[in-house]
This record gives sequence, C-alpha cells and structure tokens, in this order.
Amino acid sequence: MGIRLLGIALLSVASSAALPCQGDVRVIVVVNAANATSELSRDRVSQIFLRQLSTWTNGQEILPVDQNEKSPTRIVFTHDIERQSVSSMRRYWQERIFSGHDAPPPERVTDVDVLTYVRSNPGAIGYVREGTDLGTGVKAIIVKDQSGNGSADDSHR
Amino acid sequence: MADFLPSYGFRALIAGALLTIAARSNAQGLSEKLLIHGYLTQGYATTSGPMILGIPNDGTFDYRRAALLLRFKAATNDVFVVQIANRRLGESEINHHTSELQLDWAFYEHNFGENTSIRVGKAPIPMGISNETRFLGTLLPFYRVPFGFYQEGGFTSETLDGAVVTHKFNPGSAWLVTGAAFAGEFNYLQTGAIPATENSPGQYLVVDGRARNLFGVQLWLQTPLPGLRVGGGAARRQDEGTISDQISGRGATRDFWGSVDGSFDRLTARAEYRNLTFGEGGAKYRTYYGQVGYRILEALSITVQRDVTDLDVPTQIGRLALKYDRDNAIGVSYMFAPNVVGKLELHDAHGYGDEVVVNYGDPAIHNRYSIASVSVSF
Repeated sequence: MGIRLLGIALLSVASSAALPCQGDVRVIVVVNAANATSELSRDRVSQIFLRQLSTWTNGQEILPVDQNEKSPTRIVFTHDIERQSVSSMRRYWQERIFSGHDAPPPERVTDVDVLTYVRSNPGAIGYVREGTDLGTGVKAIIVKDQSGNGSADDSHR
Repeated sequence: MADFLPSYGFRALIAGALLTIAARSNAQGLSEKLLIHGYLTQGYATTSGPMILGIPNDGTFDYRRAALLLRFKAATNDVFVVQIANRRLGESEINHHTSELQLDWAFYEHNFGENTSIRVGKAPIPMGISNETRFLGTLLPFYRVPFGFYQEGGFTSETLDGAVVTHKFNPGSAWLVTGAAFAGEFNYLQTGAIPATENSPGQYLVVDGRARNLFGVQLWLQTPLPGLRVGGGAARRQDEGTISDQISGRGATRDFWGSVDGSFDRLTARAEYRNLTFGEGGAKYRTYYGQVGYRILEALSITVQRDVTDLDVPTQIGRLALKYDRDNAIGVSYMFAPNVVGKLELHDAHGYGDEVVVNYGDPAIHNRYSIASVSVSF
C-alpha cells in the first residue's frame, strides 16, 4: 500500500515532521514525550481530532487539543488534515454537540498554551506552528499521507 | 404532559446531581468534563390568512425556541446528557399543553470501543436528517425543519423513553454504514380538526398522545462522494390518544422514511420521504420535501423548499383523500458571526394544517406567512 509523505515541504524537512504550508504558516503535530507514537497517518490524525478515536494502544485516553478558530495555525491544520474549512468544521461540531453526541476538543489560544496542555497530559495531541520551541516533555511526530489503512495505524487503535 | 419538570423535588434532584458531579470532578478538570452549550432562536411571524403554526394574522413576537444542554463526561466512555428547553409558538393551542421550561433529554451514554454505543433514558430518536438538531437555528436554513416530515415535535426533538443502540459497520471504508436501533415509548401532542356535523360545531383539538411499544431502525450510508449520504428507516408503535383513536385501524402504526443529504462547498441539497400508516384500514400520511440551498457569499445563503403532504383518512362517509399541505418557501440567511445567524423566510401554503376548523369537502386554505428570526448558539 503506497504511503507518500505529505507534500514537498515535508519531503525536505521530514525530521521536523512539518505539514504543508499555506502562506507563511507551517504546522507540526506534537504529543507528550512519554507517548510511544512517532508517526501517524493523516486520516488517523483527522479521526482523533473528530473524536472518532478515543484511546491509544496502551488504553490511555487520547486528548486532542485545538487552537482558536482565528489562528492561522488552526486554519492550515483544518485544511490539510480535515480537508475542510474552519466554517465546515464549525457546522460539523454544532451538529455533534446539539445532537448530544460529542464535544469538540478544548481550544487553546497560543502555541505555548497548546504545548503546556500536551506537556501536562500524557495522552494529549496537538499542533503548533513549525519553529516553535517545543521545550521538554513534548515531541513532534511525523504525519503521513496514505490511501486506506496502513502501518501507521498500528501506533494506536 | 409527563415531560415538564414536575416538581420542586425533581428539580432539587437534578441540582443535587449536578453539584455532586461538580464536586467530584473538580480535581479532574471540571471545565473539560462538564460542558454547557445552548441556543436560542427568537422570531417575529405574521400571516395573511387564518392562524397557521401559531402565527396570527396580526403578527407575533411570541415565537421562540431555546435550549440549554449540559454534558458531563464521567469517564472515557461514559457520558451523561441533560437538555432543558423553552418553546413559544405564538397563539397556538399547543402552548397550553407544554410547560415554559421542559425536560427534553436526560440520558446516559456508554461507548463500547470506537464503533458501538448505547443510550438509555430520555433520548432523541434517530430519525431522518434533522430530528436530533431540529431546532438549532444557527444550522437550519428556515425557522423550522420541513413540517410535513418532522411536525412541530414534542419539544426540541422527538424523544423516546427507552434505549438507542448505534453501530458503525465498516469503519474506515468510503462506504461507511451507520446503523441505529431503538425501542421505548414517548409522549407527543396530537392535533387536528374535528369537522362540524348537523348536531355539533367543529372543533380544533390538541390532545396528549402516547406511543407505546416503539421499535425502529435507521441506516445511513456515507458515499465516497464527500458530503453525500443516503439513509432510511422503519418503525412500528401503538398510538393512544383521542385523535389517533379515531383515525387508527387495526394493529400498529407503521412508519417508513428515506433521506438523501448532500452538503457540498456552496450547495446544499436535501430530500426526504415519509409514509405513516395508522393500522390496517386507518389513516395514511405521506409526505416529502425537497430543499436546495446555495451560499452566495461567505455569510449569505439562499434556500428554496417545497414541502408536500397528503392525507388519506377514514370518515363516517368513507375514505377522504386530501392534499393536506403544500408549502413552498424561500429563505435568506445571513451569518453575522459564526454563532449568530439572521433569517427571513416567506411561505406560500395551501392546505388544511391551519389551526382552524375545516369541514370535509371544504376547499384548502391559502395562507402566506413570513418569519424573521435571529439565532444564537454557544
């Protein structure tokens, strides 16, 4: 099953695990440093942020954290991972909330806030602008594009 | 009605439960475990003819839906949801049969892994595209969902007292199938006009009804075309109530429906069909609608809709087939902010659904009504 890395940008900076850029913004996906996961497929990341996956393989609860809707980082992430606009995602979450099904991930205003959340919660996953100082307790993971289910899914159920 | 908050004791019980939840959850990050959401739609409505859907000829501001939803995540796979609601329907007789503040939902949900869940308690019935979000004004193109298919609803949704099980059959597939099975019973309002006879004047009735022994299923198929899904469902139940007793035949009420839902970049297209048969030899209710919306600008959308309902009902003089309702509508909505939407809609309606007495054989009533509304949600 063919797996291709996301975009030209990622091919050149695979070690930083960056997603494609829009304008000047490039985004990386981060997890708690204690998390054994080092890479995920784009579909899996999307499912996590849509609350369609709830636990890592070790049984720990997945805790996605979003950025504010007006954040350029959020706009890039939503476009590249969810393949939707922020307004479409807002509609999706309104339907989920008010049908009693789900609640969207909590939002944080800045990259630093996201990193603080991920650092404090072993099951957390978030995204920040590339180049942000991750500090200790947080690591970037590689996000791979793929058609269908691939080995990246083995990192969590 | 059994749905309204019946006593101070019950209210105290809910308040106590919430306080207990809050106290226990403080150490776990209460703000992420207990979420509070809500919405409100306030309208002004007027009509050119006799009262329809509670809208009087001289207009009314007493047209509103509001709900407050509390969602407590007790554990990774366990959620408790309560929704209370307020509805005003202008001068409709229905206002006298509902409380100002009503318990709409109260259910516990458990997820068995990623693909299966069960809800137990007072939960929305999975029926059609919009039943579970039928009064969420910030999403809807019109003040209400198509009346023929959804009716006005028990309160903020048609709910059942019972259980709902949902399951995803082929997760990860482009042809995702989501199924739901439900069982229970529910309260609802039965409305209708009793025609005049030689011995008695006609009467418009609103009475409490009860549906018992409800069993149903619904399936949705997500297609590989993003935004397009098709679905259908079936249910059976026993209806009890003054009006249903008069129009029901032998056996249970049978309910079938089908839906097509397309939501694309700027275009939204929806159509649904529903067929209700009130027992063998009883009344038959068939309805369908088509709805097309187009987003002209980022914040500005226009939607047209045709809503058709036919009724075939047994009477003392034989069966009577009525073109019960024909409602053509056009609406414009403007999104002032992501959670603030204003709408203006015009309806041209022919039928017998107005809140007046119509005798068999009388011509349908022609009514033009309009609703201006503002919706907010958080």
